[in-house]
Amino acid sequence: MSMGKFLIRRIIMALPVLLLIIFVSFAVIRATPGGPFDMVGEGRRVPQAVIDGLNRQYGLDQPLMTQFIRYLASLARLDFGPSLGRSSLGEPVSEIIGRGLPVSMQVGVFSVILGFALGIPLGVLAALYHNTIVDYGATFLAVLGTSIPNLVLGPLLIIIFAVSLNWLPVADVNGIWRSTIHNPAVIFSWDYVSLAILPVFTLGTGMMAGIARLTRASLLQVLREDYIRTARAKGLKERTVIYGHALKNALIPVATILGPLLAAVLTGSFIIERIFNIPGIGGEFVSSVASRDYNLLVGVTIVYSVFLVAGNILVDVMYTWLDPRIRFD
Amino acid sequence: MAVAERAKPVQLGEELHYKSRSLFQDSMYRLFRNRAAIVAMMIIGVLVIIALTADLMVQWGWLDHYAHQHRGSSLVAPLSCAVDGDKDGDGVPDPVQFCFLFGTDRLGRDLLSRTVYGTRISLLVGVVGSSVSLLIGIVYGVISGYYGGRIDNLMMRFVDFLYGIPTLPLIIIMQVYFRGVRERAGEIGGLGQTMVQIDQAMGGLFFLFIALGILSWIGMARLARGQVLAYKQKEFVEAARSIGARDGRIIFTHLLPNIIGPLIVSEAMAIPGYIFTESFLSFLGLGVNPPTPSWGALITDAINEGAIRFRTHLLLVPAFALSLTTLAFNFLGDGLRDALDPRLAGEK
Repeated sequence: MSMGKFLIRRIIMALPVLLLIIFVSFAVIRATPGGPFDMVGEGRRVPQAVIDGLNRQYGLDQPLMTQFIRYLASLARLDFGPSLGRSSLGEPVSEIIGRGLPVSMQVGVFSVILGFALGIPLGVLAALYHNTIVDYGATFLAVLGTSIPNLVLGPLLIIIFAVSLNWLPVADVNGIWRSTIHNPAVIFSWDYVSLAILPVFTLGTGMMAGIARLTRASLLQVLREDYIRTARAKGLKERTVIYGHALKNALIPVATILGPLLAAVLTGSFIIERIFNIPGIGGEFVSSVASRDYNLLVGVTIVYSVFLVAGNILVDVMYTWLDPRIRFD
Repeated sequence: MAVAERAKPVQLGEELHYKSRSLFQDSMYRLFRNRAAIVAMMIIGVLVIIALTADLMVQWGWLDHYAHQHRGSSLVAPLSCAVDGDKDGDGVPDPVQFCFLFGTDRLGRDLLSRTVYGTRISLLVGVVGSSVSLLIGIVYGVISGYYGGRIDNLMMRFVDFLYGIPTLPLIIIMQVYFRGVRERAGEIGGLGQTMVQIDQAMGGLFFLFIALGILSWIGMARLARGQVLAYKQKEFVEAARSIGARDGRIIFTHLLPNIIGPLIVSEAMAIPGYIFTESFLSFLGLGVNPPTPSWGALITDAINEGAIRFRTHLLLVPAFALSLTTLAFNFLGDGLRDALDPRLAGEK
């Protein structure tokens, strides 16, 4: 099967899943007691007439299926509907997502890069010096990395580097995060680096650990293969054997970790963005839950789901691309 | 193999005394030679004992109840004691009531006691979470793999479908729903009310288990099915069938003991994941109900109370417990895998 056919089939298979998750989030959040307009008046009880009026205005008085079909129809035009939250009432959800998503993506992408940049060398070292002190040290580091949750590492780093040592800023006072959307060059400035380094490090170390463990296991297995023995037997330098023959094949399974990594970026974005006050999409999701901002919540859920589904397909494609023995089927 | 090493040349005319070891004994032997796994088991054992005896320790006066029995002042430093002053007014100061080894949190509750109770909650989340997933996953996977054919096809298509659903947003939305329902429990029907009551009695754990369990079994079902497929064509299953063993007997006495190893390993490795997820949910305000203490809830309290700058231990104590547990389960999982499947030994 060709690549194009494979992609089309996977995307068609993914559509019902997406539809289901949209419907579930759509219906469940509407079934949850408490509506978006209950608390509009600064915590005072809002008159029922006002709530009814707002519900009518935003079509929330319609039967569930009518609402859902209308929503799908607007989705087809890439319109996520208006926000129903208190502070952003009426603002298009797509704008809120468009504002937050690039910021979240920056943190995610840099963390993934950091994770690979640290994890692969660590895993290779551990495998090459198998069962020596280097191996134990690297393995311990990797296990430690998986054992300290972001929830703990983040605040600790803030206390150490931002509060006690005062090397890094505690908060984004000048709106640096948002300014990257209009001016991407900002990411090379110290203002940006000093803000981004802690969240990226926090998220990246967790990934580093997983990547290192996987690289080590995979390389150890490859080093036992016959073709490695052949390469050694014909007198190749050890360096050529390892970097030319072994590592290339050992990294194939490592590519599969991209799927779980995407999920980790996702989870991370919820936690990291709250701890470090990053104006990303994860923070929007969390606040949309509390304020019953139906459209924003479903919108962000869709974005996340599309990312995860796309990530899974990407992993499959990468697998076949990296390892010609595997075919599309 | 250990058995083979011990075999001596056969001496004729003399009775041989071999103590044969079962598959299980063999794996236990390998497990107990793994030092990291032993340390891990000891740590987990201590944690389990702590979790089980928390109430006893409260009775003995070693600990405080998690929803403060002895009120200390807010954010007391470690190693300070609660003195009620002179309550009865007889001019003599009352004796020291209770000493807070790790100080107190913002509400004046003893941190040590809450961490100990947190052990109970967090371990429960991990163990119940993974057991539910193991149970459902095995039943589903074994049925699918054993009966094969159209049933298998149908069941696996369903699993493939569910597999695409992003777990985390779903868990969050479900917890939001449960939370909303709990707040308006008066307006719903009998079954819902019973469930809310069960949940409240469990401090919010019941709904948490449902939310965690709803999709967690999928990976396990796939693993179990794969294992069944690998074993059901083996000669010993064939032999059992040829002497007339029923399906139930083949599944329970022949297949399950052989396939269970990797499944248990995978669940042992998954336990920290459930504890992590709970702490993550607690951080979003969607975990257990306050004042029920889980490690995640304690960490969240420490972060949100804004006192971690001068009371960093509020964060560090539950965080240490959480990380230690994760480490222990990881090493135990590694050890179990090596022990149950010696072919994989060394390929961590």
